[in-house]
Amino acid sequence: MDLTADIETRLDTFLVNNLDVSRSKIEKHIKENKVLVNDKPVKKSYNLKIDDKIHIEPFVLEDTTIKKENIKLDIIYEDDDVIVINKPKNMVVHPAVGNYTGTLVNGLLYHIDSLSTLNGEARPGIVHRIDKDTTGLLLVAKNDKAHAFLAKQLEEKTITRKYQALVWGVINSDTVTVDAPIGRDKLDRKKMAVVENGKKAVTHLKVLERYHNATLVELSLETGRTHQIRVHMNYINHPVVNDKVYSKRKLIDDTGQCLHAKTIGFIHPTTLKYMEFTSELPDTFINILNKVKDL
Amino acid sequence: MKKIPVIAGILVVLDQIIKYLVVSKLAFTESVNIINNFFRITYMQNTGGAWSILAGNTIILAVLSIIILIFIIYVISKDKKINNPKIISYGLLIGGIIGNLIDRLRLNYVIDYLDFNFGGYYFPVFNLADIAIVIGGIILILVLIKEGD
Repeated sequence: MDLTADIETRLDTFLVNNLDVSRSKIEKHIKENKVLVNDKPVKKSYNLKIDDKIHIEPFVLEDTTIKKENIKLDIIYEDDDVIVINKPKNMVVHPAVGNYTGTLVNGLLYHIDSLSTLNGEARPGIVHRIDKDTTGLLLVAKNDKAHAFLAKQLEEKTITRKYQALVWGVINSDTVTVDAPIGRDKLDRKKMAVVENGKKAVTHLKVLERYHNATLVELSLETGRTHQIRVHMNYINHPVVNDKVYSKRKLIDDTGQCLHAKTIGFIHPTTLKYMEFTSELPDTFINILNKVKDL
Repeated sequence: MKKIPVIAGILVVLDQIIKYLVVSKLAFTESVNIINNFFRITYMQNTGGAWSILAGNTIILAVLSIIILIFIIYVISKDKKINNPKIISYGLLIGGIIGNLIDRLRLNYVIDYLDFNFGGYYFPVFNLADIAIVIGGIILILVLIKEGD
C-alpha cells in the first residue's frame, strides 16, 4: 500500500491515524523496515513532510488459516453458486488484522464446503461487505465463476441493493439525491467524510414514512463507498439514528446505526435469471423506531 | 431559614441559564461529546416525570409539583428543629421543583441535557434540577432517620 503525507506529523502518528492497525503492530512494522518513506527505511519518530511518499508492506494475518467456527447463520437462499445471508448486528464480515474470530467468514467456513477464493484467503466467498452494525442481506459466492460474475455485476451497478434507514429530522421532499465526494475525514482519519477531492459518491433516497422528528427512508446506491449512507445522511443533516460514529444526536442504545440492507437482486451466474430477496427489519431497528417516533 | 429561598433562587437561576444555553446552542436531539462513550450533553425534551413516567401528562405533573411545593413550604413553616442539612435539603428540593415547573408551564415539557452511558446502558437524559431534587430528597431522608432515633 502507498500513501502520500498530506500533513506534517510523526510517521507513527500518521500511520496510526490512517490505518486500521494497532500502534504496536505499526511500530514493529517500521522497525522491520516494512515501511519506507521516499524509498528509504526510517525511524518511527521520522517527521513527515507534505507529499512524502510512504510505502507500506501488507500486514500479514498472523495465522493464515482462518478458524472455522460454529456461528449460527441466517441463510435466506443457497444453491451451488450463491448464498444469500441475513447478517445480524455486531458481526464483522471478514477477518482483518486484530480481529480473526467471530466474523461471518469464520461461520461460512464451518457451514459451507466450498467458497470462492478470488478475494484472498481472509475473505473466502466475499464479494461485497456491509458494516459491522448494519444488518441485512449479503451475497456470498461459492465458486470463482460465480464470484467473477457477481463482482462484474457489482462493478457495472446492475445489482439491486436497497437499504432502509431511520434518520433524524423530517425530510420534506419525497425523493432526494445526494451527490458529494467521500474521502477520509481530515480531522479524524478513522472516519470518512464529504471532502473536496474525495471519490465520487451518489446516494438516492425515497421517503417511506415521516414522524415528528425522524424519517424512515429507502436508499439505493449508485456508488459503494465506505460508510457512504452514514456519511451522506449526516452531510445533509439527517444523520442515521443511533449511529455511534457519524451522528451527533441522541444515542438510543448500544446497537449501532438504524440501517438495514433490505433488498438484494442479481442475475444468477448459472441460470442467468434475475433473482431478488428481501428481509424484514430486525428487532433492534424496530425497538429504536418505536422509541424515536414518539419523540 | 432565610437561606432556603437563597439556595432555591440560585439553583433556579443556574438551572434556567444552563437550559437556555443548551437550547440556544443545540438542535433538539443534538449531542456534544464530552467524555467519549460515557458523557454527552444532549438536548432532549421530556414530557414526563423522572424516567419519563406519566409522559405526555404535563398538566398532571405540573399540578402535582405545585401540590408538593405547597406541602414542603407547609412542612418548613411547622418545622421547629430547623438545621443546616435541612436548610440545604429544602432549598435543593424547592429550587429543583421550581426549575422543572417553569419548563412545564412555559413549554409543556422539561429540558434535559445530561446524557450518560454506563457501558451500553443509556441512562435517561436528565438535568441539574433533577440532581437537586434527588440530593435534596436523600439529605432529607437521612436527617429524618437521624431525628427518629
